[in-house]
Amino acid sequence: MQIKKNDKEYDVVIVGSGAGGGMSAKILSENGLKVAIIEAGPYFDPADKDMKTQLRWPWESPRRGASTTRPFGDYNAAFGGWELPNEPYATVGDTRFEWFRSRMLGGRTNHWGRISLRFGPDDFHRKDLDGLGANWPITYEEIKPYYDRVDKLIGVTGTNEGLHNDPDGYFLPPPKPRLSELLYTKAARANGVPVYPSRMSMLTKKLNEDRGVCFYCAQCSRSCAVYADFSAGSCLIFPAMKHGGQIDLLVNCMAREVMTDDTGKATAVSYVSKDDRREYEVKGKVIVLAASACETARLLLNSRMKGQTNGLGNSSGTVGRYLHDSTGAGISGFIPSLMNRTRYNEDGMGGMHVYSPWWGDNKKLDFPRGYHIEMGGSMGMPMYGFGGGHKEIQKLLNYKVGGYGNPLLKEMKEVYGAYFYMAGRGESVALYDNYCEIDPTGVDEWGIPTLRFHYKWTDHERLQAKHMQETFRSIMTDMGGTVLTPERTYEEDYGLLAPGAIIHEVGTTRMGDDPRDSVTNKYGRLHDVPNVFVNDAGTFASQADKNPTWTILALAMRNSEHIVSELKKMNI
Amino acid sequence: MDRRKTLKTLLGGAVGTAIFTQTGCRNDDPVPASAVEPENTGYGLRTAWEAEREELLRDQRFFSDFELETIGVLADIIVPAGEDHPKATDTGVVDFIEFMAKDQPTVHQTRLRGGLAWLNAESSKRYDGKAFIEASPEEQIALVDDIAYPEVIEDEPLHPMAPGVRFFDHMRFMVITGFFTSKPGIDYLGYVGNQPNVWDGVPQEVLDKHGLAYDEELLPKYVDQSRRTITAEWDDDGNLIS
Repeated sequence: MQIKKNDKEYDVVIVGSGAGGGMSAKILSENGLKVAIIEAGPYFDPADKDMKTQLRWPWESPRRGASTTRPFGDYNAAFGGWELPNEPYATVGDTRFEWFRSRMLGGRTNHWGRISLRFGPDDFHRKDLDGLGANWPITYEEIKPYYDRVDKLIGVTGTNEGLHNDPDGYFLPPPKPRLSELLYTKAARANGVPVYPSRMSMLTKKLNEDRGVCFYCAQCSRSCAVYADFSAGSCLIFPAMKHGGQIDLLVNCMAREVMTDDTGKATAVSYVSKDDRREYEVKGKVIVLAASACETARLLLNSRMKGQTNGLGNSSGTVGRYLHDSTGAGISGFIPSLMNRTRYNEDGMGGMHVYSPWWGDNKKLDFPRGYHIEMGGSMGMPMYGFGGGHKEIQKLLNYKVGGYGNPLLKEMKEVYGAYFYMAGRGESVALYDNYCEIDPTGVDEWGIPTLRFHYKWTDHERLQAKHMQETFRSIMTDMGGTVLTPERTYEEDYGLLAPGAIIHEVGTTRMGDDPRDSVTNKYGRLHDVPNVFVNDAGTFASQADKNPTWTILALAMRNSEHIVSELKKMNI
Repeated sequence: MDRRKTLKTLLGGAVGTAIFTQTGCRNDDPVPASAVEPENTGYGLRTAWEAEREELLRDQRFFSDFELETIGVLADIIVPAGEDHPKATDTGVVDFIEFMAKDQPTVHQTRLRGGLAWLNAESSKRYDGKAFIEASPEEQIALVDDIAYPEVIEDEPLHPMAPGVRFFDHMRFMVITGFFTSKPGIDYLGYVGNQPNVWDGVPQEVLDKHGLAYDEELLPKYVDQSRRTITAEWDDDGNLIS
């Protein structure tokens, strides 16, 4: 039910409907709890004919899919981007930070890459291993059962390889690699880089009655109309509602504050309706924050408990601190042996069919922590920008640069599908001095104080990016390819993208056993407030060289079952 | 089902019927009907902000008829009709360029309008006061040949043809990208995807051509597409058993 105002008290009010909010809603509602979800964006269902962008052709868009209003193109399912109209954020000094927000039911799960890597045993106690950052208050063994259940509940492709820090799971069978991925496999292995079938949350095989099976259009970033990829709306919230869960969706509602009573317990969340710009609040016995690491920090910092002024749950002063994103750097190249390709449909699953987990031994390297490799190159659907790099190829092939007419068209036809890219996604070290805070001068159009960011890469990340560049260049060369990306120097951070650019920001409300230097306990409960939980990536003590979503899902499942049990025991 | 009704049903929490019904499909190819049914108009949900913005753009006009005509002539020089494809103006490229000029004004407007003006000035100088579209096809090509190859300005940024070279470079990009994102352009290119299918690897003849093969050891681990409709089950060790 969609509501704006009522006096109903919910068992749980959840802020945010992405991976963390969606999983929380499913687990809590299945256990008979009455749940309200506050979502800042509109309702979204990719199965709805009017909403769906899957299988549309470039010419259906007047801009041929250009990224004018959506950073990843016109058909990308994210309603949002690096900048949202009238919802600003700022950076301080020479900070570069990019913050991707997607305002819609399901949040950023609608467009994400679906690379679904569980953390490994080492990832929960990196400080023990290299003395940097913080250990998690939980071990892999404690969270493993939840990862296993997430695998079976949501579905992820892969193979059991018995790798120490990239653990086995319950995998759906992976699709066969594409042509360029076979070339990559050969060249990467020759460079000592392992290659395995990719671990992606698409259904290559039937999982349950609520979901369809992948039909290989490569368009997971558009959110699948048959629910064959994982999006939180399609795969958690809708099924939970369908199977009788009592979930009320408050869409187009922007949370403003968590309200607390004199005893220091949370009672409600106040919010502004984007439809009528009026203020409301929704009461809950328990409040679950899953608005994304930075939005959750913002919400806490904007909330006030009686007698204190630096934000709710912030007695440690660490809300917003230890913000960290994955490192990211990549190269692209051109592979002449892939010219004049035989045409066939190689769309495949959205994204890569193989991947390389971290293989290095940091004791022998000049940087801590590792990265995994994502890659690709195929005869994909042309979109705005097609042909934009052709002059580079002409130079490389010693053709006359420029030109027009049918000879030019013929050239473009010949080189189609001969591009290849590699990208590293690695672990950065969480630092106290990389953080977000409330901007004393900023407010968005909803009257909510905005964030400003402080973030600097260190040599840990720069040297890791250098290693990526060297590795990728060597592999590309061994594939018979020519690298198109210029070599980057130390001063250019070896090609590291800005923090935030990988959209894996975590750590702003980190969990820990010591309330003096962490925000939540190991179940995501605020140390300072007995009935407020954080079920997004804010609680990550460290990021790992993996994508965060599978861990968000596992933790949200675990935290939510803890909430159910605590409510039963009358502890909350 | 109309959208409002869909929304109402879903928002009411009573999603009683599976929207992703798989009836009516071949057993070995379970592409749900909903994935291939005819589409509505439009191109997928826009946010209110996007929709308002687009309406505003649609009400505006940037290029004059004279400019649009010039763009059309240039577009057909860049992509003339061939044995297996139509010319650019028959693939919607002019409308696309007009839209992009309004959609990304700082990227396109001055570059294109200024370039067209330069082109007409150059044509007028060379051909007795004739605008580019009034020049003969041979004259047009002679001028285009002087601005179609960036090497002439590589060592000489102030070369008299430099504004023309930079303009043509941008126009070429717009026409090429517009052509290859049109239906005839995609047909010409030979892209055969964007449709439900069952991926079962690279065709054998292509593997042979490139001297590649699938790893025998891995083959049993890849998805068996004949069993894709059978619900996944695992043993306690994580081995798929269905």
